[in-house]
Amino acid sequence: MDWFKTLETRQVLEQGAIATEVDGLRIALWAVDGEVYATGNICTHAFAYLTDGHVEGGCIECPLHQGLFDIRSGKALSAPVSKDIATYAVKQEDGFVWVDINTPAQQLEEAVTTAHVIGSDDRTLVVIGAGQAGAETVIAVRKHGFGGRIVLIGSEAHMPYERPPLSKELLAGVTTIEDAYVFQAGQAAELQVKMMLGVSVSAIYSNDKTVRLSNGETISYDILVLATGARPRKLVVSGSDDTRIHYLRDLHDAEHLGAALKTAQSVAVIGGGFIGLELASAARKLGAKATVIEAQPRLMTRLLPAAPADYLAGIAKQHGVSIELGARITNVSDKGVGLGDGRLIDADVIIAGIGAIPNDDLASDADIKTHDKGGILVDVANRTNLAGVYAVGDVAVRQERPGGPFQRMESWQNARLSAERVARHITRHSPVAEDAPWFWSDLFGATIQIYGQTDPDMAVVRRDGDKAPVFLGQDAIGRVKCVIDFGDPSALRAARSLMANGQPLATGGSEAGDNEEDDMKQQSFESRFVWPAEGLTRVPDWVYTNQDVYDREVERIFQGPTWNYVALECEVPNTGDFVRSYVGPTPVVVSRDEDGEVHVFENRCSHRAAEFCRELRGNSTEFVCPYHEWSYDLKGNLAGVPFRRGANGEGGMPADFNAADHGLRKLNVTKRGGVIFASFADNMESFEDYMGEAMLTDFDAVFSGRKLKLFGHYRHTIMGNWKLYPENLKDPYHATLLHTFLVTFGLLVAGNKSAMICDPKGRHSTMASAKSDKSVSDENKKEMRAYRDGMTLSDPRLMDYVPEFDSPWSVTMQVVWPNLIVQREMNTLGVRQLVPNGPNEFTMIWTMFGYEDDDEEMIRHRLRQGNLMGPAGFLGLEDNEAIKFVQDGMLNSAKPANHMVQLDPDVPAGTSETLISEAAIRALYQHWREEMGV
Amino acid sequence: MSRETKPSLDVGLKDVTGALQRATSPAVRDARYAVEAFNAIYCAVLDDGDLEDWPEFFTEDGFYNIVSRENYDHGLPVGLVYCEGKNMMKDRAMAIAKTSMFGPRYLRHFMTNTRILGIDDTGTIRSETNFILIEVLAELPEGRLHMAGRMQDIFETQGNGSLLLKSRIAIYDTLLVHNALVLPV
Repeated sequence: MDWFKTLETRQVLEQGAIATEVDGLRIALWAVDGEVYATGNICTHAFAYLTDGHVEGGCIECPLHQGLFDIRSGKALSAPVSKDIATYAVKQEDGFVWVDINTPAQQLEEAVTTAHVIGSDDRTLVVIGAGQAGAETVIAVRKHGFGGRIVLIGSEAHMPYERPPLSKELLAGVTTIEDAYVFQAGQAAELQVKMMLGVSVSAIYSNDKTVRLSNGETISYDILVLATGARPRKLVVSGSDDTRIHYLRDLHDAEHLGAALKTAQSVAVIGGGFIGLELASAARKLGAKATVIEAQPRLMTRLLPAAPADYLAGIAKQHGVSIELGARITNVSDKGVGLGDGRLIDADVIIAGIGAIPNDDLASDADIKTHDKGGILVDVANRTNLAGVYAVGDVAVRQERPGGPFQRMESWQNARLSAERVARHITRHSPVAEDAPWFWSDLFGATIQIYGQTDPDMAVVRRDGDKAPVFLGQDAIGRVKCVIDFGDPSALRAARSLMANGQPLATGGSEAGDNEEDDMKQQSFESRFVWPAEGLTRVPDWVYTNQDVYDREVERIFQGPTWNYVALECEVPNTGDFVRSYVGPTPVVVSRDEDGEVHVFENRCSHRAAEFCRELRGNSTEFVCPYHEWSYDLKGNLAGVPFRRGANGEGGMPADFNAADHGLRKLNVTKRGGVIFASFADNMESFEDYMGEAMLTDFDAVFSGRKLKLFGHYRHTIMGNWKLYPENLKDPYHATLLHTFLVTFGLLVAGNKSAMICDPKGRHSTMASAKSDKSVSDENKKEMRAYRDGMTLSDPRLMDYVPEFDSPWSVTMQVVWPNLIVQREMNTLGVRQLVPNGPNEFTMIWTMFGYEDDDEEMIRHRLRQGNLMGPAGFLGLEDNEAIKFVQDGMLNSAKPANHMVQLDPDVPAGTSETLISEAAIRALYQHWREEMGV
Repeated sequence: MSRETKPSLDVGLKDVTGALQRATSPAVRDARYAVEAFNAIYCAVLDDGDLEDWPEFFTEDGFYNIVSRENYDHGLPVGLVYCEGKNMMKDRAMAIAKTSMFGPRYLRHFMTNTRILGIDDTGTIRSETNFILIEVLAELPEGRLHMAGRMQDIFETQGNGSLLLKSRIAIYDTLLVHNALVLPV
């Protein structure tokens, strides 16, 4: 028996998992179901603190490789862990937990390995709106393991039901509402969802995280899902207040309309969309006369291209439906619908299907952002602008990426997909690839299906088989983007495979998609390089290995609208100073002229293309190409052409040769804080706008106006694709895993403040961390003691941080897209210029510096700390090696595949608060895809 | 265009006749032999021995820097490796040996053309020696010339007559380093 007093019981019960140290042993204290347990705190597989892991169902999942241990028994439960962790006997006295380090915990008869999820989470999920989307959210969130309370609030008294049958079987009386219920019998009880039906929500108070109900009750939430749906747009025309006009949205509407249709002689349907046609179809089936009245010159102008819409109109006419196109309605009455040309469309039943208005008032009253045209704005994961608040179904207006199109969809499939998306996000599952939009309608005895993204202006190819025709909608380069099928599911399947292969549709009668591989080069870039359907969580190998992709990067990125680093001003302080540099792979010269202005021009003689400037740096009054001695001034203007007038009156340049037209290709130049950038693009935005406020702050911390002092350069190649370098600095996940040095010597430890910050476009970023203050520093030392074999630094000056920056961070690694990394690793400062040499190799040019006001000791300190970075640096060499390994893996693998970058599903792309995240890499590719058009 | 100016650190080369004359003195020949013997052991330890023995070639206050010729010629101090004192060398040796991740490889150092620049009364020898470093990766057939340059050294003679490095500056001509330099030169 060897009891040690540890921490307060209360503290353990509150926190659930705490690391402590007893007699030199690292011990984890756990609270499971109100009981306290003690185990070893170091994973038996690799070095990690289990208390940093995830506790669920009495088990601890190691943060490093997700090995699972039972807390009560210490048993290793799942690969990769195979060795149990030690357990220790505990007792509770005087409010403290005592641990006996020589006695294992009493073993339970049978360790509980999993607990039922419900009750494992103390959060409350409130879903407003008990339609299909709301109910599907409840089902999906439980399926993915949500263990908290769920409250589903719906204004209708019915259990949640699907709406498509309302205009189809249910309207015709073939089925009942029970058939349309979303929950199966008993499912609501099984899911333990509190149903509040026949109640509406009158307000959301997002500050208090409560909702108020129409009955006065108030409910608290932690997570809120808005599934408030949409309501029918009302027809406003002369007589509409006094005439019974049917709308179809809910069961009540369907029951009344169904009864009315049974006795109807003639039916007027206002609105030529799918609802309108379905109702006309239903009316014809019951023997009534049916007229569809549409204001536009054809049916479905906002949804379908003309050809399939006209075909549909033809079917409707075959089935006896009258169609009035381009019709203006002047009045409605008991007799029917009056049109602008004076005619009266006889009708004893008038139905309007002229669109729906999203129910977004609750949201906008609670400062949740909505779209100008109605609907709640959500991102790719269906998150609103308020944390923990989502919107699903008809009411959600989704923007998949910043700057992308806004899409609101009213479909059965969208209800289901959006619910699944939100459920995955709430339960921290990665997004998955989603099926393309799909919609169906039952019309005149057949089923029409639309698969894919329709656009009324898209080009359409019609294919007639032995059954109904199929329409294939194409994008600008001929790829199949949608399929509209009128009743032949086998044709739909074939068309879907055409869509999946991403090939342009062959013309001239040959079957689409049968292009030979040899012809690949002939095909458009867009059709050859199609991003994986999973989206940004996958990055295909061709992004890193393909020459054509690389060539387009040079054209669109390095020679496109970007600011590229070329030099520091302190490298060219005087008139005539120059350095050789690069913009992307293109050699340029940076020179300072007589007026003190900096110029950047291509290092290519106008005459015979010679890369004329060969010295890395120097001072000169002019540049002379050695081949034929054409000379250029410090601004890059052509100054002299030998024998321009010939010799002895013979030869020479044509008389109209104008030297002013043949200067070197000049780039636009901008400067900030002593850093020089150049761009091939004209009309570049200012550097300040290019960077954005957040990124400028980190940039200015280094380039604050203190005069820079040049310390020197180093250069190295890396056998990898150039983007792997910025990616490495957008990948905080690797920092403590690859760089053992950081952890071993306490430079980066759990508990350090850190962040991975991206600019709104996702191209620039800062990986930042703050060296711990004094109190945490002791903690660091404690953690360092984990290595008891003498691994301490003999000269710890390497780790010293001399505060000198206006920044909360002691380390910032900033990517300025596309070719600059600004390194501020404590006090060692440098800029790294990236020069790509094709898809599989790049050069890094490092320029290290300090400040003019550094004293001798500060200069030495910066140089000493420089041992961390560069191709021989403790951290730098590892990054270079890792990048090479990645490229090797791609070049040598059996077949091309995709990288996986799906850590941190909470943040689809962009700034992340956790280091265990790949959201910044996803943000980079979101931007890259826009630049590259893939 | 102006040529980059060469630093005039090596006065020996300004007087070729004198340098040839001095090379014949027995003291210079002895010093050269001692330096060559030292470097043979130095290379053997780096190539085939224990990296953590590498600091033992230096005095307690020894200085070690691997600097590009580009920087050296311009009087710029930044090096790939920069160690002030034997303790920093110990830290580097331990960090590389115990914590660093890099692909498996063989390195082989060659040091030749040793020139004795000066010997003072206390037995301090200043010398220059050319070096090349061949790197062989496990997955490639050929060895690659990884680095070439010269060592600018100051040796101190110890009480027992052996030499230790007071300063070694490896000035490399191969400006563009291939991927990474994992060990000292």
